[in-house]
Amino acid sequence: MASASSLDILRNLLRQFVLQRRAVELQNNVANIEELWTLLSDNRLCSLLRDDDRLFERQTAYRQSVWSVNAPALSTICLIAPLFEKDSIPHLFIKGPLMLHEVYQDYFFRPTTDVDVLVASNDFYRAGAVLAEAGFVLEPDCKRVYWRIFLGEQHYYPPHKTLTVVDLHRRVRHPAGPATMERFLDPVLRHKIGGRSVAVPTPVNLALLLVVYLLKGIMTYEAVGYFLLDLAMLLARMDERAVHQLIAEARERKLTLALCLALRAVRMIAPLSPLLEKEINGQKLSLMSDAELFRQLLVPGIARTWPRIRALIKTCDHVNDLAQAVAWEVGRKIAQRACGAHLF
Amino acid sequence: MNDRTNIDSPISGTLSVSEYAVASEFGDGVSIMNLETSAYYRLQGVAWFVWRELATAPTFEDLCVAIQDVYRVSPEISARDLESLLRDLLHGGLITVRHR
Repeated sequence: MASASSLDILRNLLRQFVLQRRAVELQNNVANIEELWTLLSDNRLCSLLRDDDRLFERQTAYRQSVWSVNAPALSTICLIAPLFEKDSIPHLFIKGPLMLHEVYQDYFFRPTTDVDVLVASNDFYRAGAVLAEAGFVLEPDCKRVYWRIFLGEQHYYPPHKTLTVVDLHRRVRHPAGPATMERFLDPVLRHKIGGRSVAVPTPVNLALLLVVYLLKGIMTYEAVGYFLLDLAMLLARMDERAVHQLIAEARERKLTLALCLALRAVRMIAPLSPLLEKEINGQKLSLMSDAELFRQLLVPGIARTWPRIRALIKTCDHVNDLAQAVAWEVGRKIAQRACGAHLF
Repeated sequence: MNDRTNIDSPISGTLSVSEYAVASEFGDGVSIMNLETSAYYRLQGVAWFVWRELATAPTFEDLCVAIQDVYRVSPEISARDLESLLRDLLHGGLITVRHR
């Protein structure tokens, strides 16, 4: 269980990391180093710290574990990206080691368990066929309605150990809002790796994806400090033009309230630009204090103050979307029970 | 791939990490993967030191001098061991040599 003092220490570490953009030193007077390490580990933030004698074995084990999952993920990306290109399937690699490199210039900043690929709805099954042809095998449970319709994703097991699971997505959405996926697929950035050029989200699209992931984290009571740091790092590098674009795109995709919620959490660890502060102040989102929100994102086990249906309703930009949000949530619950799944 | 040297020829030119190699430093060494072959490697000690030095695009001679300075070994030993290491790295596709 994380105490308030550990949470304060973590907050300071995050703040220093964003400002300095490099790993930070742990003070000698930290009382409960075990508790802090657990907090860092739960939030996949262990790479925040510089090498420390008190933590040498744990830091080594952590980085080794990151290597053991991220290296196969990179191999998988290098294998499947050319296959999608060859079949002219527009796609985008989200969340994984490529994103870590875009944000931290380090493919191994934290563990990424699988390779997430986003494709257009129309190409969803065609992309699945490409993976099957390459030897990937669809997880049987993914054939259920819950996975196909509500989650909009399919998991493919790799043909051998040097590769990893591929999660094929056809949707990125506010948990209650309309599908916004197509806007993420165009334009894209090209990330150079292994003599190839691979599609990844633009900074604005990546920021909006992170906003959605943070909201999902709140709704599923998951510790998502890693997404919070990603967003803070990304915003710290954005110029005024990009910030304007972020605000405009959030409005277009009905993500303004979700963005404001995420920004309130970010400002606990990093100063926001005046434009973003203005955006938050212009919205009424009186749900909980910034400190409570921060705690909810990092230690949901003790926070757990927000029922998910309330989170859905409070982050819908338009009143018209409320009925759809509630209907979607009820449908999702029924489908989830039918297949015994416990994921979002 | 054109700038990769013939591994049986003398190692002359500037050395650098291949675009097919990704690496992560932890514990007492660095882990490296070749993205083309999915083969993994782990370097420690002097080999790790050499890997770090590759960031400066050194020549074989630069590396020899650096090893002698840090590890206090004779020019003969440093040249012999370094050549052996670099040939292994070339075999693994982890480094390239750009001829001047």
